[in-house]
Amino acid sequence: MPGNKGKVGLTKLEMVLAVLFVIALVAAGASWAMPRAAEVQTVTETIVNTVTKTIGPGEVVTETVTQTVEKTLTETVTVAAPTKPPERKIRLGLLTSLTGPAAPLGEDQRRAVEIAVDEINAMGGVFVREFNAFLQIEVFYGDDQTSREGAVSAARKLITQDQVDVIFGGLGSAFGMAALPVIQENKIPYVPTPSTPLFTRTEDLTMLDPEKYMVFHYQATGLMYGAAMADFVVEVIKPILAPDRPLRIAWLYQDSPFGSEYFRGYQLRVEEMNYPLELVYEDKFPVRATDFRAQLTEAFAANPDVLFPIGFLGETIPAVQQAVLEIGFDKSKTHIGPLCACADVVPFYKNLGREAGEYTTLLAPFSTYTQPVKGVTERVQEFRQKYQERYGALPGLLGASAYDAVYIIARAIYLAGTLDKAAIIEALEDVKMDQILLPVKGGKITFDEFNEVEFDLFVTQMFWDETLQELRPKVIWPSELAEAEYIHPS
Amino acid sequence: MVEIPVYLLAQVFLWGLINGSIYVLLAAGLAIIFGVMKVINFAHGELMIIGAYLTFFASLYTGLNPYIAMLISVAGVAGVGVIVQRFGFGKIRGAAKINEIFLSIALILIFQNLMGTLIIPYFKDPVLIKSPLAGKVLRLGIINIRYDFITMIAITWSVMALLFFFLKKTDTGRSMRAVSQNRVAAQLMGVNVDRIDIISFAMGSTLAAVAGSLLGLITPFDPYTGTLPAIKAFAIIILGGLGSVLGAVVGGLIYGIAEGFAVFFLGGAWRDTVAFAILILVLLFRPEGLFREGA
Repeated sequence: MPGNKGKVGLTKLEMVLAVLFVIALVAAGASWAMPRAAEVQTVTETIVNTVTKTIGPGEVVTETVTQTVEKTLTETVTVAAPTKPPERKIRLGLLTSLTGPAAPLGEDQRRAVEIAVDEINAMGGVFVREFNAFLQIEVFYGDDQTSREGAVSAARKLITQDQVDVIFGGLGSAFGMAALPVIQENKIPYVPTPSTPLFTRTEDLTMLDPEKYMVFHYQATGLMYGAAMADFVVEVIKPILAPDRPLRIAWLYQDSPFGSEYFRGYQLRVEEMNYPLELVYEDKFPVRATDFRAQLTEAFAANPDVLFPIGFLGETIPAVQQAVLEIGFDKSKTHIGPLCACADVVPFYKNLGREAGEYTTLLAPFSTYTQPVKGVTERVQEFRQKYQERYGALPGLLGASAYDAVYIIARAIYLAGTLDKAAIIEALEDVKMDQILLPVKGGKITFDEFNEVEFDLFVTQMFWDETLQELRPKVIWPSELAEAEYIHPS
Repeated sequence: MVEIPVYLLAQVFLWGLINGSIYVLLAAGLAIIFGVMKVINFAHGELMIIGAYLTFFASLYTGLNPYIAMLISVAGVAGVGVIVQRFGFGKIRGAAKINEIFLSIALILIFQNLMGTLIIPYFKDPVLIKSPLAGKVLRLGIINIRYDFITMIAITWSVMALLFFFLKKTDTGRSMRAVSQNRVAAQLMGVNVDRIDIISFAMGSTLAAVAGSLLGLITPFDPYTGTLPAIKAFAIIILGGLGSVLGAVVGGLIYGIAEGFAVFFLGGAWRDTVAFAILILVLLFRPEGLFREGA
């Protein structure tokens, strides 16, 4: 009937649907909201307590702060007290992903930066000769929204609206690289923390790009990781699985500059060292892929001794799980790893599971749960403790990198003695300071001929913790940093 | 020429069948909505992810078996579908197609940001629905298949059988097919087309919820996971014949299996490319798609 089209009343079916909908929402909502409310309250309380303790006199935590302040003063600002009050603040721009799929990693950076800035400000700030004063640091946030377009807008906002003196941070190479032309155009000092060497190098990766002179890359590059992976498997895995023949290697990596640079770093090292490694399978997967079954089936058929599944956390976990639990990779015959440093976050240890994850290895300059036996142990413990007290969580590699970057920039500004951007860029070239959280070669942070820092990477192996019912890492390579020996599953 | 063992091809076919099952459910839902209302809802992938999260939360906090918790998700997403239809697509029906497209885009952003705001603070990384069958694998000679996959395939085809029964044998199903074939004629014959619109949207959303719940059992997901599957589902219904549920079923299977073999033979970079290449080929030789509308 034509009349039916005009008015739409609720029919029985619609009413039933509406009731079911309300029931579903109430059931899901109530079960979700109740336990979460308690957690929110706990987090808020922790933050308030931390702030009170940090600034309040006579509090136990004040001792820790004092200790940190003294140490940092020695490292960054070894000068007399200011003679006049600060006239302006140092404006730092953190360019990272605060919304979108990568927001949790960006949040790690934001938190770590807050800690670093609070530490420096708590001791008075950074002495800048031009002002003859200690200047406080103020951080401005540029949210790249986990996208290239967002990165460009965020960089513009930091430069034009916030008028920052230095830009730093970031987690996705693609986003930082998208923002780079804007930064170059405005000649802003930039200390990126994603991994691609293209931040400072020419397209062929062989030399420093003079047009990127304002960029000082503070992160281990894919080339470094790839090279270290080759070193590790030759030294540790080959004697066990292929003592009399070349070690058979399968690569499955993310189709991006990030994944390709890992692979390239591996290839270059194999060629350079003439390593007895045979590449029996190689393929790429798109960013955010979660189904690797067809590729792993093919890799399995190639009968490799080592499988390198290199991707972000959201790719690494399903790739390893599918390889072991569904395809049938036997870890006594095929070693899985080292995995990417970016997977070294709490959910990896929690979600990978014993059957899939035990005995796999991971390569990184920072570990959520452990650290090398030599080097930066105290400072790392302090940072980890402070982070956990303040945010109720543990920091990851990207947070640690951003924390270090703040100190490096503070040091450069002190050396420059001015907030003039050209002078800060020159000072960054001359930075030479003790390593902070991430272990660097020789224990001193300096930017080399590529404007990069060379890191001491280490391999951790995953073991099952019966008490926690989660995986936990132990540093097993290189031997001088190792806390345990590599164990090959039988 | 390199000889490829048959068991490898069988294993790859199996992965294709599993992915194809998700596509079938997703595309069938879209086909119903498009067939009846002729609206383009790109936010179908977000309905799928809402369904996945409802199953995840329901099973996580109530301890329900996720295959049972899926029913809560189905009811919830059907409700969301009804709201979207009544206050969104229903209001702009008959307007220019561009309005529908922009409404879809708005819905994608609203759903993604809403889920991002509510869920990401507590579950920062992609989540996986914990299955009681997780880790249990049936080994058929050298082919491995998880019990979850067997269950998934069984659920998919049971749901599709029910759907076909509903469309063929019930009055409402027949009315839906009538509206799909000729809306005006159906209305003249006394079919309450507005009611049929709502039922169609709810059913399409229900299928998205089932697809999301099954996807979440085998693959980690986050609020942003739904966009690409929804685009593929659109390609599938174009391939199968716009508005044809049978076309969606056949198209979904072709896509899933083609993707698997593309990855196996050509590499991971070809996963999405090959599926769309098939679409172009089919449209070149059969522009109306594999099946006519209403099939």
